[in-house]
Amino acid sequence: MGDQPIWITFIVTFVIMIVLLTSMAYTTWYERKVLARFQDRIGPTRTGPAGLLQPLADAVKLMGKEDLIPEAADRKVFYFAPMITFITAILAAAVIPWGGTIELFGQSVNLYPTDLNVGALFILATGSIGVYGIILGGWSSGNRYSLLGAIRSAAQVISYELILGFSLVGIFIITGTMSLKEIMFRQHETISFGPFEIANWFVLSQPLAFVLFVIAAVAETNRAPFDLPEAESELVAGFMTEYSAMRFALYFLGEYISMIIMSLFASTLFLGGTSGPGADTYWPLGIMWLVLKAIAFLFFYIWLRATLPRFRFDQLMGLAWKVLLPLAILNIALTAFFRLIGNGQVF
Amino acid sequence: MSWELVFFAVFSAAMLLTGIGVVALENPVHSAISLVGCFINVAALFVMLGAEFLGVLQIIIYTGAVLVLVLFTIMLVDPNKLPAFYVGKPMQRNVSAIVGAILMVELGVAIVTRVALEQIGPHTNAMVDQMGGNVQAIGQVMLSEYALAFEVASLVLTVGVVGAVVVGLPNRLGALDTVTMSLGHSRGAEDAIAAGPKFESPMNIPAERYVAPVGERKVVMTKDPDKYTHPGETSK
Amino acid sequence: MEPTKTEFNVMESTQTDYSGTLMVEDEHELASGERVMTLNMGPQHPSTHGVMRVLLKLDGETVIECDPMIGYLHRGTEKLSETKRYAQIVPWTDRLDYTAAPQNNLGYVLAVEKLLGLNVPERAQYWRVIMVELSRLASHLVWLGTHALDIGALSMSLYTFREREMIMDIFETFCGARLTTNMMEIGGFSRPLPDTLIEQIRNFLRVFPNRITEYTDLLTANPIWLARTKGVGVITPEAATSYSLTGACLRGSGINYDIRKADPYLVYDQLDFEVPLGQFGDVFDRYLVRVEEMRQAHKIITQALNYIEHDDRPMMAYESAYVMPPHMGTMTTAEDMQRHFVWVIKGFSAPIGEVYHAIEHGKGEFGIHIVSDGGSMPYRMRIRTPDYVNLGVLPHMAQGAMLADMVALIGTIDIVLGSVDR
Repeated sequence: MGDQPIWITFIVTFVIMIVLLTSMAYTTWYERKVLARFQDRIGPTRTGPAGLLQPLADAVKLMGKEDLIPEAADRKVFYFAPMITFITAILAAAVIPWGGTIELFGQSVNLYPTDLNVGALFILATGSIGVYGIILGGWSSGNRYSLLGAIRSAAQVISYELILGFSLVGIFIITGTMSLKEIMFRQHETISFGPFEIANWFVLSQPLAFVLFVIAAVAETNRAPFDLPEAESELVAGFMTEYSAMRFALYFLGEYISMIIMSLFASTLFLGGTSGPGADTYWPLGIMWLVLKAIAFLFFYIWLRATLPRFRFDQLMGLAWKVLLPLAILNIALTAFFRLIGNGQVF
Repeated sequence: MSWELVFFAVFSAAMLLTGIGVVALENPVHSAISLVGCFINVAALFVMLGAEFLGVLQIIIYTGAVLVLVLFTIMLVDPNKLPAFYVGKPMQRNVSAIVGAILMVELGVAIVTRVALEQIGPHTNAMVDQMGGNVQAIGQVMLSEYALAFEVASLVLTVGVVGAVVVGLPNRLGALDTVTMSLGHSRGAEDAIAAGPKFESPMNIPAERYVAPVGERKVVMTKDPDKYTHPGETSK
Repeated sequence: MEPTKTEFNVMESTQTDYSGTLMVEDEHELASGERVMTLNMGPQHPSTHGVMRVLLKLDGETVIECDPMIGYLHRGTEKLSETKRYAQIVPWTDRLDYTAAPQNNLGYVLAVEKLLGLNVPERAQYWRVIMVELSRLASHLVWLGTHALDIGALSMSLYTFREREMIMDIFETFCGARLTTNMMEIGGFSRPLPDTLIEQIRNFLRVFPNRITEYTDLLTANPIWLARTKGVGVITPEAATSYSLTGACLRGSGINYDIRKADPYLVYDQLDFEVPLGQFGDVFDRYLVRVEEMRQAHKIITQALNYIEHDDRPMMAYESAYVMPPHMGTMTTAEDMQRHFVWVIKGFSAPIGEVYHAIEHGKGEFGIHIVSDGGSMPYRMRIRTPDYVNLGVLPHMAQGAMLADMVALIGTIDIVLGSVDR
C-alpha cells in the first residue's frame, strides 16, 4: 500500500465520482436498450445515435418538471429523504478498489479512494442508512400507498441485509480480512488444479454464498423480482408515489447507483475484481475487467426484471427467513469447518 | 489545531445537538430521525478512534436494524392521539430525571477515575495490534473472556424473539389480549373516502383456507357439454 | 302477439341488496380490538384495468373487506340503443368490451337475426366463426399480458401484444378498423373478402402455436408465477354457480358450461374442439383454462378456414326488407339503390317480440335481450355482459387475501370496464 498525498486521493475520488455519475446515467440507457431487446423492441433511437443522449433528455425533462409537495406531506422530511438514498448510494463507492498502487506521472497513485479495513461491512452500513430514504420518503408523503411501500421496504431490507452480511462471512473466514482490496488481491493468486492453473476466484470456493449474495443484492437494491416497495401494480409507485421532478430523479439515481455498486461489489468479492488476463501488468486492463464483470451483473439484473414476476410480500419474507438464512448459516458452518481442517485443527 | 480535533469537534457537536433533538422534538418520527443522526455521529467518533469495526457495527445494527424497527413502530402511531407533550405523570418525570442524573454521574466518575488513576485497562492499542486488528481482538475477547456474558445475551435475545412470535400469533395460541398495529396514517386520505354500503358475502368462507395442491396441474378436456356439469366432478 | 310495452323487469342494481349498514369508519375500533386501514384502490390505479374503484379494508397487508365500486365508465349504451335503428346499434356494441369488439357485434347481430328470423348463409357463418375466434384470441392475449404484468412479469404484455398486433392487422384487412371493428352486419357480410386476408390468417396460424408455447414456457414453469397464482383466489364450484359466473371463471372451477357446446350457435356444432376445465378453481386454473382456450381457438380457426377457403357462395342473407342490399347493386340498379336508401334512412320494422341470445364471449356469457314493439328501433335492449356478473365474485375471493393478491384477483376475472359499466 503506497502512501500518497491527500490531493491525489481527492483527484482519484473526483474521477471516480464523475465516472460513477456518468455510468449511472448510461446504466439507465443500458437498461432501456437491453430490456427493449428482451421485449422485441428497439429502445430509444431518436435522441442521438442509438439513443445515446436519452439520459440527457431524461435529466432535462426531470429538471424541468414541477416539484410537487403534497399538502399532507411532512415537508422537511419529504425534502431530504431522497437525498439520503442518493448520498449513501454514492458513499459506498469509497471502498471499491479499482486496482492496486500504480505509478502515474512520477507519483504513486492508489486506485482506490480508501482501503478501509472493514470495507465490506462499510457497504452494508451505507445500504442500511440508505433504507431511511425510502422509509422516511414513504412516511412523509402522507399517502397510504407510500406508507405501505415504506413498511415493506423496512422489513425487506432488514431481512435481506442479514443474508447479504451472512453470505460474506464465508469469504471473511477464508481470507481473514474485511478489506475489499485485500480480498480482491487474494483472488489474483492462482491455484493449481491438477495440470490447470485457475484463478482463485471465490465464486469457485464459495458458490453457495455467491448465489445467496446475488439474491440478497437484488433484494437489497429493490429490483425485480423483489421490487415490492415500489410494486407498481399494487402500490402505484410505492414509497415514491408522491415524488416528482428532481426529487423523484434522486430516488431513481440512487437505485441505479446502488445497482452499480452492488455489481462492482459482487465482482470484487466473488469474481476476482480486477483479476483477469494482463491485469497484473497493465492496470487499465484490470479496470476493464472489473467494468466488464459489473456490466455482466447489470445485464443479469435487467434479465431478471424482464423475465420474472414479482414475489408476494409473505413469500419474500418466507424465502428470506426460511430458505436463504438457514442456507447462509450452513455455508458459514461448512466454511469454518473446512477452514479448521485446512489449519489442521480437526482430525 | 489538528484536523482530528476539528473533526472531533464537528462530530461531537452534531452528536450532542441530535441527542438533544431526540428529546426536544415534538414529532416522534423527527425524534427518531434525530437519533439516527446521533448514532451516525457516534459511529464517526468510533472510526476516529481507530475502531472502524465498532463504528460500522454501530451503523449496521443500531441504525440499520434497531432504529428501523423503532421507526417502523412510531410511523404507525397517530401523532394526534399521543398524550400531550411535557404533561406526563409527575412521578415518571421525576424518576426519569433522577435516573438520568445517576447514569450521567456514573459515566463521569468512570471517566474521571480512569484519567485520574491513569488506569487504561488491558485492551490497549498495542494489544489490539498484536492480535491482528480490531475484529480479531473483539472476537477473541468476546468468545473467551466474556463468553458467559455473550451466551447470556444471546439467550436473552432468543427469549425476545420467541416472545415476539408468541405475541404476533394470537390466533393460533388462543385468545390473547393483543392489539394489532394500525396502519392508519396521521394525515391520510380519510376525507376522500366516503362511507359506503357494507359488503356481506352470501357465501360462508370456510374456517381453514383452501390449500393449493402442489405438483403438476392439468386441465380436464371435454367435448361433451353434459359431462362435468356439477360441482366436484373434475376435482377427483 | 301483443306488444310487450309495459311491465317487464328492468334489471338494475339497487341499494336494497345491501345490508344497509354503513361501513365502519376508518380507524374505527372493531369488536376484537383490531384496527384496520382503509385503502382506496382506484379509480386511478394502474391495476384496476380501467376506472374501477376498490375500497379495501386492510389489516396489515391482509384484505379483510373488499368493495368494488363501478360506474365510472357508464355511457348508457342500453338507453342509447332505444333511440338507434337496429343497424346503427352495431358500432355501439364495439365500445362495450373494446378488446373483443367482433364478439360484441356478433352477440348483437345474432339476437337481431333471431328476432328477424334471418337465415345467414353458411359461408358467412364460417367467416363469423373465424373472426370471432380471432377476436377471442385477441381478448385472451390482452388478458394474459395485463394479468402477467399485474403479477410483475413485465415482458409478457409486450409478447402478447405482438401477436395481438397480427390479429389487429387481420381485422384491418377484413373491415378497415382495428379496435372498434363494427365488423358484423345483420344478415352476413355485404362486402367481398380482401385478397390478402386468407394468406394473412394462414401466416398467423403458422406462428401462433409456437408463441403460446413461449408464454407457457415463461409462466407455467416459473416458480414465482406458480407461488403467486396457485391456491390464490379459490372459487369453489358451488360458489361459482351461486355467483352465476360464466366463461373461464366458471370453467376454471370445473363446471362445464360453454355456450358453444351447450347451446350451439353459428356452426360450432360442426367444428371439432374441446372445452378445458380447471380442477381447483384458483387463479392458476383459470390461467391454464384460458391458455388452453387459445389453443382450441387456433384449432377452430384452422378447421373453419380449411372448410371455407375455396368457397365463393354469397355471404349475405337474401331478405330484401332486413339486410343491406349488395354494394355492387346499389351502384348499378335502381331497385337496390332505393332499397339502400330506405334501409339507411328509415331502417326496417322488426317483428314484434322479445328475444334473448347469448354467445360464448371470451369473458363469459354475453347476452342481448331485445324487446321489439314493431318499430325500427328496439323498445328496450338489455346487455348481459359477462365481466359485470363475474366481478361480483371479487369480494368473495378477496377475503383473507394479501394486498398483492388483489391485482391478481382483479386480473383473473378478466374485466374490461367498458363492458362492466356499459
